[in-house]
Amino acid sequence: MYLAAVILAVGAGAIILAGYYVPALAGLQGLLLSWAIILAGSAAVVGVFNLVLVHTTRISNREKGGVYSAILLICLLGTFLYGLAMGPSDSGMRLVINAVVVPVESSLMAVLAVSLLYAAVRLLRHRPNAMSVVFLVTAALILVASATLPFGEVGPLNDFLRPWLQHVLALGGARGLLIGIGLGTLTTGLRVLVGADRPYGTR
Amino acid sequence: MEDTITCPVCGETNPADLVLCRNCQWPLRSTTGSEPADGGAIRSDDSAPQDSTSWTAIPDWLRDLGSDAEQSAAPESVIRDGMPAGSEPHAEEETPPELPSRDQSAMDEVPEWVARIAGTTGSDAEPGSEIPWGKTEARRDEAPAGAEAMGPTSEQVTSGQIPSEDEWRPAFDESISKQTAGPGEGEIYEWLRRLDASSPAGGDVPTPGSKPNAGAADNRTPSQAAPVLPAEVIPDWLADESMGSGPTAQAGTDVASGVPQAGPPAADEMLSDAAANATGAKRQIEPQQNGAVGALPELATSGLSGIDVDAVVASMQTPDWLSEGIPRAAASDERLPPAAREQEPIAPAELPSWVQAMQPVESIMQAASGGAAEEAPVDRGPLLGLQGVLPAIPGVGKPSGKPQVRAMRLEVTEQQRARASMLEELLVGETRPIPLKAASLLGSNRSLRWALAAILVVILGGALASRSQSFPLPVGIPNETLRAIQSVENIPPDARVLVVFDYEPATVGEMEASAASLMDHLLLLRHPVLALISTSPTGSVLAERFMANTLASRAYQPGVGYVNLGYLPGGLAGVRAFARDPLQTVPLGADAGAAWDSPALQSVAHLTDFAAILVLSDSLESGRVWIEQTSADRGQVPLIVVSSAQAGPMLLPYAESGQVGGLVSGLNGAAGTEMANGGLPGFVRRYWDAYSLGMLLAACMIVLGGAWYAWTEIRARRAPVGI
Amino acid sequence: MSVDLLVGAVAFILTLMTLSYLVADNPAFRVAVHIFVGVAAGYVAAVAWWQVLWPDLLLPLANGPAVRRAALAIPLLLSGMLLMKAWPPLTRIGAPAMALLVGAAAAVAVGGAVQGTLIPQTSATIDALGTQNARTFEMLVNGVLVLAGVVSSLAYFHFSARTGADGSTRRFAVLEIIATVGSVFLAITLGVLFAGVYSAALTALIERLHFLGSFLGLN
Repeated sequence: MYLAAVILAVGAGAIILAGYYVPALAGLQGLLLSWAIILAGSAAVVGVFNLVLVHTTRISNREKGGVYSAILLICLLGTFLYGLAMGPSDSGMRLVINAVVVPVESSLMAVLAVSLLYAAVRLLRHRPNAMSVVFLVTAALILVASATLPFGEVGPLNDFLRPWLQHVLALGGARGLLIGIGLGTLTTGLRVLVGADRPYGTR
Repeated sequence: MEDTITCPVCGETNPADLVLCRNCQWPLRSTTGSEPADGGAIRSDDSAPQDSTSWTAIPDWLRDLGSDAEQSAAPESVIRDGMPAGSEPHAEEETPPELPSRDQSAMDEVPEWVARIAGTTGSDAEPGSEIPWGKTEARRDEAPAGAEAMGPTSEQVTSGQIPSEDEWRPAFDESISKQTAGPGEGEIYEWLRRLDASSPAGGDVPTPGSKPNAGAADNRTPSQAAPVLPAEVIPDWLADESMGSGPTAQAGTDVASGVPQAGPPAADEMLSDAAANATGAKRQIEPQQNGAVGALPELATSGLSGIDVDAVVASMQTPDWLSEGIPRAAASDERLPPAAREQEPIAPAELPSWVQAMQPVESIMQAASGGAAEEAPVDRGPLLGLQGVLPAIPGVGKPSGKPQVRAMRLEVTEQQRARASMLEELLVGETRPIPLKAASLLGSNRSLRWALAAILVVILGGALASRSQSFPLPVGIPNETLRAIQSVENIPPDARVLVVFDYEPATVGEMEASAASLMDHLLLLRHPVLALISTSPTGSVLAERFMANTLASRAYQPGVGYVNLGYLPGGLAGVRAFARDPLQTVPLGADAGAAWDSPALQSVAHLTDFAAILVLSDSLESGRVWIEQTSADRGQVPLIVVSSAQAGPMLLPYAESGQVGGLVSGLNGAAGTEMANGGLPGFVRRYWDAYSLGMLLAACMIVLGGAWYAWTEIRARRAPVGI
Repeated sequence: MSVDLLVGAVAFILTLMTLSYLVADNPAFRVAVHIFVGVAAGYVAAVAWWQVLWPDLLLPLANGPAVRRAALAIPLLLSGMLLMKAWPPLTRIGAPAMALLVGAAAAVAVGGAVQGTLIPQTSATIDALGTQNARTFEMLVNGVLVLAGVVSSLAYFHFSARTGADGSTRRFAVLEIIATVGSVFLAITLGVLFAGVYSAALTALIERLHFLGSFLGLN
């Protein structure tokens, strides 16, 4: 089983990567990608099933927070059964999403605004160093430059400083980060393709 | 520790299971598997030549004594390292004199003064005088038995008749007893003690590492005792140079006590000179007995064997302190068995001159350092018999087949361990968390959080409730936003446009506000047919929400104005597959119907059949995936990105590099599109006052907070210590 | 009560329950979050079934041509094996399916990173100093600054070092200087990012407050 997993990972990865540059392998690349898509859908189902299992265990063991788990399971099963019956594009399903998912997630994001501001105010207390000062000064300048004042914009700030900070200094750092991310992705991917890394399970 | 072995050479403490010292590679155990090697110290009596009674040759040093009688150096009172100042190794600075052989014929060359000494039977020493023994050496391990101290008379020497100890000892004792008091008790003149202890049958044979016992001196045979010589037979030179030989018993007592004693300065100097002249360069280090001052220079074996010690000693004036020990010596003599007393000592082995020249000079440092383990003589190699040899450099001169294994354990003494534990207690006390009181409801952290939340809610809510539009929209439009507007305006009319809804419900408010103007501008100007797709499970619902609420004014109908392709699973693999073959990857729409067969998308078979791709993304990851995976398959189809403000700075490099046809980031970017759209639909305007107030408030709070904590930090540093 | 009012009421209540976290963690917040997770998970499962498994796997297996059905036997088998990962004793059976997913994702990531990021971004950095883009002195200076930012920020993440004579581990002196400059660029970049994240969160807060006000008829 372990050997089969390694062969699958290396073989599939090699064919898909070769398909970028070898037109003859485009068909095989598409076939493997379609299998990967199907497996991704199956993985989503497995994830939901695991969630059910965890909360069921919590309820059966009468652990702390079992009531919340029960609420979760009820909502999950109800939504799934309704979606299974009516389809995800049903208007009722959309109403459920608009009534539950959107408000709660948006509210969680709104709470984040207070948390971010609180953390920024107290940053110098925990990390009183030069980089923190540079960080806070930059953030404050961008915050001020992103807004307008009742009497209008602050000319030098909006016309020069903010574009220079965003399109020159921050651009250099962001591009360096992107190149670094790309190099890391390349390295990690090649390690998986040659079998050096096996995140799908070992002996 | 019980499980450790101390290296006799370097003093390193090693685990008991080691064979070799981990510092100097000295074998910790003898090859025979016996107890840890003590260095195989040459026992004083093992290699000591036993030929102590052959007084057949007079060493050169003794001859030289006569010539140096007038050249006694100034006395030194400085004691160096616990040793008498005079008993320093000087041999290395002088050419080793030729060691005398044990040739009987050498006795034919007995000088007159020696012969005169040999003829004396003892005399009273002058009161208060000191007998310098400085130029006389004795080897502890090979002191000639009996006769070494008070050797035969000149006639006896010339005739080859060597008197026994019984004959000369009493005379010596008597002469010594008449000497005035010396500089003090406890003076140790090892050479003199050895003169008495050279008898193989007498007393305890001291071994390396063993401590002398008080009775050691008492166990010596009478032959080992120094004979008493009358003062009148002691030559002047010898009377000046020799000093305080001390009764052997007294020396033995000093040895037993292990107390380094200071000798008379003059005698010390003369002793050292005698040692240097007698043996030459090397002096043997005595690791045993007392580790004290008693390590006097030793005479070469043959040096004593060939001289008329009787005559020498007889010519000396023994001080009183020396004479005090005589009775003890006599008493020890009595305790010896008769056989031991009568038995002639074994003649010491004859060593060639070059070997004798190599024998080391007794070291002063040995007495000061102490410890038998540090002074263990070498038992192999060219340095055989030497003591105090520096430990070999690990690996030098030894086969290094394997790298040295060094224990990683830190060797500490008990004192160090105690101190370390003390320090650890102090540190633990410093870092031990002090139980905090339960956080009060009005703790500073929570109250600050509440205050910030309250300020934000009140200000933002007030601005929204008042529907204020006091803050104008920004005038300038970023370049990337301008390019996005231009790209949208360049789309042909009634074209197929792929719109990707890759944002989460958390950013619905911002994304709908940011994309509304641009989408409205697109729909208004070019009324394209939209194909909606998402890599997020909730994306299709959000797309429907956007089309139904935000763009309600455009009255786009599903299936006609737009087709919802639903969810594209697999992440970047799914996007790659979709870019390669959209029809195969997403055969059905969100409503499970044949989406590609609808009139809206009939003409679409590949990605390049779309006029533009509009990606609505709230994260760098999803935006980057669409940019990377479609770059090879979309050809010249422009890709326009509407992103959240949190992803905009990281997607800007793609816009600057030309990979993206345009970028609208956050409310600030959407303000430009809204202005370009003639102020429609107006989400940005609706939120702008609250948005500006929130941004300015945040900037002020950050500045104030940073200044506050900086000021408290400065004040804390300026506060005096202890407050 | 209309459906919209009902939906609005539910959204209103859930919004208040979630925003109550600003005060402190409380049961209302926990209930709201658990409801959200349950609904979202159920919806995801339904979407995965209707938009992935059914149209891409089950339907072709039932109605598709023989060749396609034979080809779909492998993902069917792998999907079944993947389901075994839900049971700890049988987790290892799902390793081949995970391996195919991981291998495919790795290959796609590598191809996309090279073609979509590394080459274009590196070229753009160099082209910024070209005659076409650096037409003015200001543009040239900006190009140099961008290049310096890219190089120094990359150098900041280079952690190879050597042990000095005093036992301390340090990077090369030149690299240390460049990394210090890179840290400044990164601090500026992160400051801009922080402003963006706060802007997004602030907009969400504004939208929620607007919704609450609208529901209450205040807006």
